[in-house]
Amino acid sequence: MMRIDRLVSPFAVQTPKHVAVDGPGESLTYAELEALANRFAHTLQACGIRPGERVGVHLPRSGRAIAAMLGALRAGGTYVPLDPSSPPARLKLIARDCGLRHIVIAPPLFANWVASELPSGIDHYLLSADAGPTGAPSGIAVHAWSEVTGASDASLPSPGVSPDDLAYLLYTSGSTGIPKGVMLSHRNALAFVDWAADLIQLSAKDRVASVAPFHFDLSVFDIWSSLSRGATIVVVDEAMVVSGPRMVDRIREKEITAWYSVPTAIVLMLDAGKLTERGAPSLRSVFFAGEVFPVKHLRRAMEAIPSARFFNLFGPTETNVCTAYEVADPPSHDVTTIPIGKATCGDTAMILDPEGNRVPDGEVGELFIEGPTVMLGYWDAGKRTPAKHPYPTGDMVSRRLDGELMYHGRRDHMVKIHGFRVELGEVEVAIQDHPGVREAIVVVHEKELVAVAVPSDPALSVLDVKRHCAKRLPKYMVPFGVKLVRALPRTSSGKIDRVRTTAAVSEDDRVVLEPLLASETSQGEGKRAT
Amino acid sequence: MSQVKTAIREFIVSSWLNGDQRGLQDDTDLQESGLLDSLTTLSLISFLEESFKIQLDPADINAEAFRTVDAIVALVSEKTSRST
Repeated sequence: MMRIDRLVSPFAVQTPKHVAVDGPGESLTYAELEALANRFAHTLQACGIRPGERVGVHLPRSGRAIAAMLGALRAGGTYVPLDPSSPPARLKLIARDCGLRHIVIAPPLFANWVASELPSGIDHYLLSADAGPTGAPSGIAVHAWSEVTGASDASLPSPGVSPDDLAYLLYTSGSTGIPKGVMLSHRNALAFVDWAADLIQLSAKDRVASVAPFHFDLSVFDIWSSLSRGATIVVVDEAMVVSGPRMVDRIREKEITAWYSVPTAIVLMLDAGKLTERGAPSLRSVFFAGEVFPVKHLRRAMEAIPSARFFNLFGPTETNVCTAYEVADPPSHDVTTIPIGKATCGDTAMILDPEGNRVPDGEVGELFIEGPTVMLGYWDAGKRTPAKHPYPTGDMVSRRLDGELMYHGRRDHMVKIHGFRVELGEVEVAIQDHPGVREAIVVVHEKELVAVAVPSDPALSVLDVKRHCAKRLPKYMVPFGVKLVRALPRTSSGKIDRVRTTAAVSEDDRVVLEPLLASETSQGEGKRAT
Repeated sequence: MSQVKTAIREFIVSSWLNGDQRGLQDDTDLQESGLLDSLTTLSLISFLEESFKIQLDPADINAEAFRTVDAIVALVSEKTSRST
């Protein structure tokens, strides 16, 4: 079993009526998922998909989205999940980067694309639901949902893809302003998928939450580990993910047994969702990743869900999960940080200094990873830049005497905002693209992005900057704070001084960063969350 | 009513616009403008509940209800008139 799209087939025969994907609005059994996957594959083949070609999957998390991914793989292609909450402008950059000719798209999202001009290059749009006239210009092939459901559900001959071939591309923030496509093979995926399923002895009895967006690597567990063991994927839809109470409702109603999310979602359930009072007795495994889980909240979560084992999973998209740590008991009050654990999924971890020498235990160096989860490389507009080996993660870590790795932050300008990876450079490029901005820099203050910009046009407003960003970047990359100032501090070499800007933002230093507006809010008044 | 509107505008300007009210119209789309996301929606909800002594049900919480200042004012006035 060396290709992820074949994982589901045995269960379509053994447990055809068992639910593979539950909700929202529609459930698919294993037999139905298998059949729909084949229908997508036949439809894509009829469109003339070539071996290895990328297929965009642009629909909300659902059984149909998973069937489209399976269909793309079975037709010999590679799937590319496109974030439904990202603006069309950014997705079109991605479509161009990976040379998309085919896309499976939800009708409302297609309407947004039509309204903002369709990108060149995409020849075939496969709609994922019934829709009226789409308003698409002539010459664009729009395939109705009935065309997909009318296609053959017979299984296809193996497309001759090897386990080392590309399975999917996950686009992450890129420092140059263009999102980066991380190339992952079937073998990369399976190294993690099997490890995670074995770790918690995942089985057909399990009900695994799907919370993370499909373009985010956390979803690889939700989808592929679940399907590999005949479990049920329970989709917690977008509207629920923003609401602590509704996430707790969903866990209780659907008796969810396994959960994988960023800590922010768990804290939301503890605070707004009253998780401690209400409990979640069905949960037996909780994975978290993507950002540091503040120990005081982790302790509350473990006390609120005593039935569950808790695991801290770690790794950039480029290596999926490369280290893991099981938090055996709620951390005591003198514990300030928990480890990221030891190398896992068959990987090896090395901690090296800038010269490439191993650092002694206890000292901080960069984490390098070698092993089966290390990506093939970056797509890079078709240049397929191979991964470096061992792979430099950019994460600074140290090894404790007991062998557990501890995390010490990033080497570069990549940050995590509520668990999402953001290259400050990508946000800076977007802001500098505004004609009214002379120069800008983006820093992090209290876990939020703050843009500091010098306008060239005095009419430039904070709202202008945010609106401009919202048209180009996903929501989590739109700076929460925007400061308009007369000038930015410089280093002796004349570059914008990132260190002094960061300090001036955090101290609300109005001498270093002189506000253009007398009405500028004082520090601490603007808070995203209460 | 204008007091409600003023309070909502002040909240938006001080919390999300760093004190810069330029360009904020009563019909400005707060989502398209990058002001509203899941977390800012939560802070808006608690602001409305505390300031106007109203209770918002999950059914009230949807993208349309918070799309503009005018929409938020309408939601608050509907809730306050129902409770009196």
